[in-house]
Amino acid sequence: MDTTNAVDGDGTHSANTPDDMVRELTRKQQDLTEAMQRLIRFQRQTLALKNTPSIDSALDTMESLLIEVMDFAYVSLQYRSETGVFSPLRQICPDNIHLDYPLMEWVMGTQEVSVLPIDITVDEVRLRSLLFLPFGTHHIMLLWLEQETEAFTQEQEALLSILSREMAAVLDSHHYRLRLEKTRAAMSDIIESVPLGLLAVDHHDTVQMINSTAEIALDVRRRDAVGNNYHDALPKKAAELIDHLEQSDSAEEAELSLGKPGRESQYLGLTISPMRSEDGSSKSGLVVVCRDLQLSREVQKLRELDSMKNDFLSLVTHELRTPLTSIMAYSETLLLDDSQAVPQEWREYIDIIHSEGKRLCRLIDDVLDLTRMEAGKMSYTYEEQDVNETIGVVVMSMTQAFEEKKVDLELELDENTGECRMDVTRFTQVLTSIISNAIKFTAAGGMVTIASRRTEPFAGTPAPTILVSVKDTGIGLSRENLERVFSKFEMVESVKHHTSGTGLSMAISKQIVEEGHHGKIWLESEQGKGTTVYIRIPAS
Amino acid sequence: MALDAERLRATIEMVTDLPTLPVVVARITNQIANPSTNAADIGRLIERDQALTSKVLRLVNSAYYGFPKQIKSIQHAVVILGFNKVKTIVITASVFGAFKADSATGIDLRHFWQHSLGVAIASKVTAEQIGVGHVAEDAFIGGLLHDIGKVVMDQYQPNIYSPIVKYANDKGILLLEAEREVMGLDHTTVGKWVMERWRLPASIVNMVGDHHSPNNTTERRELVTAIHLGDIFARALGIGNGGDNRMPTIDPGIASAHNIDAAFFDTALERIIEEVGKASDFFRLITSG
Repeated sequence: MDTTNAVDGDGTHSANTPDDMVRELTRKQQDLTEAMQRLIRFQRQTLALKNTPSIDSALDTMESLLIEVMDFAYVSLQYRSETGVFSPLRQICPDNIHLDYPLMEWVMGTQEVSVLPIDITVDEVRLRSLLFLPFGTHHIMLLWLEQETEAFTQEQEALLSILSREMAAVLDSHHYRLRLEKTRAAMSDIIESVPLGLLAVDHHDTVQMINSTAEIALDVRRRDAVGNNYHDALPKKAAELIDHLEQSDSAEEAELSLGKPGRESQYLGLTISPMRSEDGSSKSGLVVVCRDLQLSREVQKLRELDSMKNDFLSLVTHELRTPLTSIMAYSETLLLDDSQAVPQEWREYIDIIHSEGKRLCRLIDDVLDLTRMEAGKMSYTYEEQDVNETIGVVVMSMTQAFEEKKVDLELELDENTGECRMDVTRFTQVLTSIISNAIKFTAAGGMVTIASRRTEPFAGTPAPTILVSVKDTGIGLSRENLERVFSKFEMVESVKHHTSGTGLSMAISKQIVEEGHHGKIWLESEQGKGTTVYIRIPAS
Repeated sequence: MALDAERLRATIEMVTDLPTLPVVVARITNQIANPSTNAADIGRLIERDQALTSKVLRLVNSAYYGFPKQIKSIQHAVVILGFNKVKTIVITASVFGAFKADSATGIDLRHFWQHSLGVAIASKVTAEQIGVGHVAEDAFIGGLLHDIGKVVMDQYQPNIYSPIVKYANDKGILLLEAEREVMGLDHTTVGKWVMERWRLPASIVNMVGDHHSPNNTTERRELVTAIHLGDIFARALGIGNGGDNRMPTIDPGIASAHNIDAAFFDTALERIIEEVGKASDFFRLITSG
């Protein structure tokens, strides 16, 4: 625009003739018309920006619009992260072209189109201006132009401002959508990974969301459920239960069993809780959580059975004891009678009655013990006691058994074995049953060796331990029988007729050693050669 | 004592020592109205006025604009700041320079200009908030000049205005109300006349003329709304003194048209306070010699 034709301060023109004035006005009108046409064209194309499906095509449209406004040599679209770091998204410019970051920050701050005078020559092209176009909070476009800064017109500024604003809206909404999508995907991953069935229903009873665990549990498919009324989508029983539970305003739980021909019954625990709107004022729907109760139901059943069994045993043994007391008392009285009122052969019979009674007593005691031990109701009284001494006492009490069976005894008790924390009665009980088993299963002329020593710590315990072993040269056990040794009521087949044991003694010993003394008990055996029982307990 | 409007206008126009704005201002504002104007054209016009040039350069390099580089030439200032900002600077600097520092009627002029600047800032912020941010600079100018009529009356018709000012203070009413009662017209009309005389763009003239009754205007309704609200905000924040310390009421049409609620106020006031803090540099540079 030639400034000589600009309006002077007092509003008059330099040329005064009416013709000149008419010419001037016509020219002005033409300029204006052209400007209007440019603007309309520009506006139409800018509208296209709003409707482009992708960011790339929006950027393409914008580039062609830019070229309408001004001719640029190089362009760079930069993305500014939350932390203020710029990175190029799209550019056509030399790699080493200088970027003035403080300036870019300033333009992002003012959100207005700015032109900076520069003077650089790149590939023989003299660039005189650098145009900054901010697009919203995260993007800025830089354009290097040959056009001189001074020649930058107001129209160009206005058009570029329009472009800048339109593009800002497009890019910001695109980024917003991306973030939203990421959040949605993350939420979806979480919902799918939860090992519970999740279902959400809105206040119109329409299923909003269902995760795969719920799909399996309730035997529905997502596409059949989402968007439909839950009365239609879910199995009848489930829907009825939900109806019943949702009447309350708080979370409610109930159990549901769903059966289907050809499918096992599913036991589900349903928890319904109301969904509240963000400000907590109104109920916006329901959340249903399904838990598979199968396992817990079975566990529950087993627990109940176990408890019942223990109670039963307690009851029975007490009931059995009462008549047994009479049997023992009277048979003993008869045996102790000196008066010759009892004939000799009857004495034999009474003796058998008495010893069988004693056996029954022992069985009942063992059963009671075991029941109590398993119910965790066993109480132990601990004291520090020398192990070798305890072994000595037990051995002394069993000398008669050794003599009767004609089995030899050897003691290899290390003098450094020392003490341990034990319930003397119970520990004695264990030693007694093990040694008597050893004698039982060893033929006459055989040998029982009892050894004791202190050992290194094992299996993570920092303290030293004591190892006691009872070795016999008896009939031994086969491998299968070895495994069954600690089972209750299992008396190994081949030895049943040899013994008068209860079959519970090993099980009880195991409980006492392991639960009561935090130790370990195990066997090594070879059929025909003999068995060794090891006990390891923590030393003091 | 209602004066004839025509007589008043004639009186004002007759006063020969009513300063016009420096010639360059009208030239620049008209040139900027031409879309094909370029930075060189504007730059050359500004350069004809030494005082204006140095003011513009000082402002452009001040912390108010925060530009990270030194700007040495007017043309560069024009493209970096943008045509609209330059227009603001030119008009603001010139208007402040046209009036004397002392009041003839007892209005505290320093506080008055503070109020005008406050309204300028508030109008700009409001314009952005009601969605016409692209003409925020015009809102700024309008806000700055909205009460120019009062200063004109104060400095060039003190005989008429002095009693009105006293009347307003005595009765505890708005100057606006006192003016209408006594003169049959108010400072907005006077302001309009003066701005026409100064050949300022119509958009600015209308803003000034209609800021107390925004629903009467036809053009650029949003801008006038911005000034109307800006005035109220500035008074609410107690920035300066517009000659009276009464609060005008918000035009009810505006309140509903722009969803003005407590949140709107909170956001606007927060931003205005922030901007006013930054503007002290601007004010200082604009009003210095």
